Amino acid sequence: MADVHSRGISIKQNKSDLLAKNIYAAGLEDELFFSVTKGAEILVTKGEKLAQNRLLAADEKNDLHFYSPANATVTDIYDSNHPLMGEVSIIKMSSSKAGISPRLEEDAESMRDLTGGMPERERKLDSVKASHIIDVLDSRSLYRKMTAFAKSGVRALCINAIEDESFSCSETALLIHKFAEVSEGLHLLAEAAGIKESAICIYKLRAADLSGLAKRDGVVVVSGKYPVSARYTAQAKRTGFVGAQTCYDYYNYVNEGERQTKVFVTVGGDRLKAPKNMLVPVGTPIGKLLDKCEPAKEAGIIVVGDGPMTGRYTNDLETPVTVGMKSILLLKPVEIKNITNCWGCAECARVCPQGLMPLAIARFARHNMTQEAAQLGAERCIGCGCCSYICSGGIDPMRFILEAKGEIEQIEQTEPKPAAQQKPRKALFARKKELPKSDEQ
Amino acid sequence: MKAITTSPPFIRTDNTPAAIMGRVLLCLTSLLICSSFYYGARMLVNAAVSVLCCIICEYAVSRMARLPNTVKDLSAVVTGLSIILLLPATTPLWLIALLACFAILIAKAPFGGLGHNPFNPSACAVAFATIGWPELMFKYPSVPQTLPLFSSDMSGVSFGTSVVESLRNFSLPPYRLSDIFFGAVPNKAGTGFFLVIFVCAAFLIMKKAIRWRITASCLAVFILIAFLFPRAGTGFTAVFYELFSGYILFAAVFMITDPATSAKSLPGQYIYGAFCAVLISVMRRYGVYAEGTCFAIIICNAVAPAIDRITVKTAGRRHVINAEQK
Repeated sequence: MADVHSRGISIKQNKSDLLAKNIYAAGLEDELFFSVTKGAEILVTKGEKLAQNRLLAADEKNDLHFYSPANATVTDIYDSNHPLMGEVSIIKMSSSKAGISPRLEEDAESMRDLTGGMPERERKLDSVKASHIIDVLDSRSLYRKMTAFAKSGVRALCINAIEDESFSCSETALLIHKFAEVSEGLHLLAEAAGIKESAICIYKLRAADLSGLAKRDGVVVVSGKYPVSARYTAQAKRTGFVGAQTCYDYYNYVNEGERQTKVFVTVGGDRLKAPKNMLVPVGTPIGKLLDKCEPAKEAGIIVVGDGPMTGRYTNDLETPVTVGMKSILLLKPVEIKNITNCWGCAECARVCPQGLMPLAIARFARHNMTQEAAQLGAERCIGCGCCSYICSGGIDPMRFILEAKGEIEQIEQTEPKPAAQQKPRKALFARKKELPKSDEQ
Repeated sequence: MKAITTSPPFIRTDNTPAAIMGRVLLCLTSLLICSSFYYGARMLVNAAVSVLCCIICEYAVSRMARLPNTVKDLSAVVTGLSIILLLPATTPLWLIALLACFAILIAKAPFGGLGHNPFNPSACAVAFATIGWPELMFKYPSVPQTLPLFSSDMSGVSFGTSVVESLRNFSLPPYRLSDIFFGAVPNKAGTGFFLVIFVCAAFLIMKKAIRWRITASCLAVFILIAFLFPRAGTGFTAVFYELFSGYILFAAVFMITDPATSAKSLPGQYIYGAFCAVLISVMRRYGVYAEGTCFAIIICNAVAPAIDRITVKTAGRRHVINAEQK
């Protein structure tokens, strides 16, 4: 087991019940809202009928391809904003549960051939390229990532299923229920990129212990306070990380020829009475999924993304599920107080994994004193949210610090630091503590 | 109307200033109960007057400034209790009321209230009383005895010499070591119960309610100075007399660890604690008054931001997480 650091916060995980249940297969909704990146070339037109696995759009710049999750008719195409993807184009589709015409069936087969065929015979990087899989970890092209890993001589390919945020546990659930497939997918990817070692990193959870996942071959259990995932992946040398779902999708592509049209998400939160881990077609509006989990009568806010610490707020129930949306949470609203409520308890400084003083940086940032905020190291903030979580005054220092950080980055782009200032100055009493190596258990 | 956050994180701890202050309040109440055993119900009356005045002043300031009521964060109650524990039990009620009002209306409110005051309010109040009424501040009733409940007439009360005054005269205190340790000697009202203070310190450190680094470095340096420069007795006897006299231990646990006025950076806390110890030792040996800890604390509060400034980590620290990797 690897214990990563002492700073950070201990968060209540709230996952035991979720992980004890099977993964729920959410059916196809009548309307799907498929998000594609703004720069993608859309290959369908309004009114067009299309088959499942039809290529909807291609973003060649980022090497991202988007496939239809169902037989459907395109009803609208418009621009919008997605809480995780930013500016997107939405392809609104009306799904058809009935069969499709033979002509469309042939199209589906021919599409499959055009995009790579059945590459179970190939064990090279070309099959990864042909799969057009998007890594759920960071929503980047899997092919580009694996190529970069191969070029830079990465020694080990690891699954990052270190889910250290509350509620979110879709990766862990997938590992518990589909371990063989995920593991095989990981080995296939490692083999394709010529990487010799591989491992599956999970967070220390009681459910993982109880289900036997922690004892499986190739599983590394990581313990520690949040944000242990960021810390662990940052200090792991010559290691590439991918998501568990990504490996599962690649396994399915190699063995069944399936496209990445479904994702595993945790639908949970303290305002849902029946949270579930679900297998959901991409493009499903989140409102439909929340309805399946018995929302409580009290008001709640919707958060999508990796979890409640780093997720994004949305109030649009038609926000579509995308690859990389690991959780959809309905949470109790949190009241925010004015920054003058800060009474100097410095709990934020105690928990900051970067050793910053959020209370001081936030005060400077709030008054647009960017230079002073930079002197205190605002650009090193990783946006983990520990400071805002622990704040007893009820303020949100992270928001101010990230604003200052954005301003600092803008300034540095336009005005690079003089050579004399580019060598970093050592602070007084700098800590020399070494972090554990990635292969220590 | 409440403002709801729409930026991450979307969960919070349930810690509040009231929760943290509540733990400190529990400890101060235990000291108050101990002092009531020695001085009778007069201590409870002192506490009631002090706390009530602090609450009324805090509420009045909140109303005048049209700010949310800050009494519920319990800081005024903590200030009120701290003040009477730092005064002799025979302090007149009018002076207690005056000091309580001074602590809130002069030392705290004009700077912006909790978290914005540069100086510890109870230390300011004690300093004000020491300068203004030294004849009342350094008269310690013998223990145990029952004091008049409301009256300021202390003609029937017997007084004694405190350990601090004996040390000031470089003479051995005329008390048994066990009496000194259990607080059965003339002293400030609530600062002589060292065993209780140790237990309170352990409780507060366990609950992360105080900055233990400040307490640890302050006591370590203070003990070192007492060992190297004894005033009465030698070696560990001298350390015993210095440590278990006056209110150094109370200050090290409850006053210099005040979150708003002490150093906040981790290395800074060690420096701050050490600096406090040096200054308190200097005040005791060379100050005008036998016990000048309150003045030392005020000076240290003034220096705390400077200590933070020079010890905060700047860019260049190793093991930095690249923000893009998150």
